[in-house]
Amino acid sequence: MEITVSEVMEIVNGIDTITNVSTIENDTHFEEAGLDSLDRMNLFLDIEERFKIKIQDEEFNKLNCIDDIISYLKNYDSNG
Amino acid sequence: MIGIESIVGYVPSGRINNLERVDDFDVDKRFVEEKIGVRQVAVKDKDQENSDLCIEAVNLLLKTNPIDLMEVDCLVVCTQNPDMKGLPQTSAIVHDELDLSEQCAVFDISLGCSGYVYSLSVIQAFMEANSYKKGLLLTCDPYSKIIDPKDKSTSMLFGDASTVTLLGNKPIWKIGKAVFGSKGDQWQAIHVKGDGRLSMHGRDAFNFAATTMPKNIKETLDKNDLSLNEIDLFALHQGSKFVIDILRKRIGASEEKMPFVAADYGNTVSSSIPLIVEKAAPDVKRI
Repeated sequence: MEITVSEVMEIVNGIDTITNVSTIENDTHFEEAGLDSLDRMNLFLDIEERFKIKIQDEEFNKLNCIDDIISYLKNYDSNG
Repeated sequence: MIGIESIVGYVPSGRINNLERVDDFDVDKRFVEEKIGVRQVAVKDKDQENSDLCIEAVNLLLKTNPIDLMEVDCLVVCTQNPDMKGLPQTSAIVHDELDLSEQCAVFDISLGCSGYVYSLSVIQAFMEANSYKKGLLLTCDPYSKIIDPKDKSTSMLFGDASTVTLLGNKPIWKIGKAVFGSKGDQWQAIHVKGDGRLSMHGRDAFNFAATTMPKNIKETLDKNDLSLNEIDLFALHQGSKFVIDILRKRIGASEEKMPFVAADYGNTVSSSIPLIVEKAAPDVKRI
């Protein structure tokens, strides 16, 4: 699956929790960036809807930063 | 036409303060207040049974609506935590305690969060089919009976309460057409485990609410030839503040029209919707 950093950032920005997305590095842990467990649910639901995929619980728990998501989505066909 | 004449809720006075438990559950106060949204959960006395909570609600109803209980044609209790494991049905115990007529029909309905909407439709149809004039619909699901106090996801969320809805042919609110559906394959999202304790898969419950409810609301509006702007109040099941915040955003409603009101008692399952409607101002016409 083709995916860019800006596409993921756009989704992260859309969940209205992180006030300034530009300060987040691609490897910043979501918890450090201010996302709690409920924000993560919301973020991953948005990603599932945007890309029409299903992220299993075991993968959900491993995806902790922008890089993780990009890597997961790029390999989704083999992951999913 | 059978509709809603009055709604009265009973919230037990007992409380567990979530803000005093943040260290136990490794969460911060902001998370409790802004995400779960429940500062304290209502909890019944240990020796109070489901039927006792139902009676409390009926007694409150009688203070403002002095009806003759002998004229009640039917009484329905919506619960998944009945007295005595459901045998006999809790509605029979309430029938006995209220000393209702032998001609009064009683039955229970086993449903959780969706229980009020289902039960309203069932009792309305039942009353109209049998030419009944007065009916009582009770909701009461004291989850304190099944909650594991160490489980953060449920013990900081669910509270005890009961409500009674008086139905008759002089309604202040008519009952419109509803939309129903089921995802039986997701039963494990919230269920009682073999040890008798409640288990909730938060992500599945959230995903269901965030994706299904906006679609259902739109379908309900279409089915009743209404638009979003014609609704005065969206009385949504109070899953959590976070769920209501997300639904408000997805549906495009204001906080005033789609409120979260359960901060001081919690998610009361099938009682959550009638507790909102009870407080609705007289000028709130469409809910």
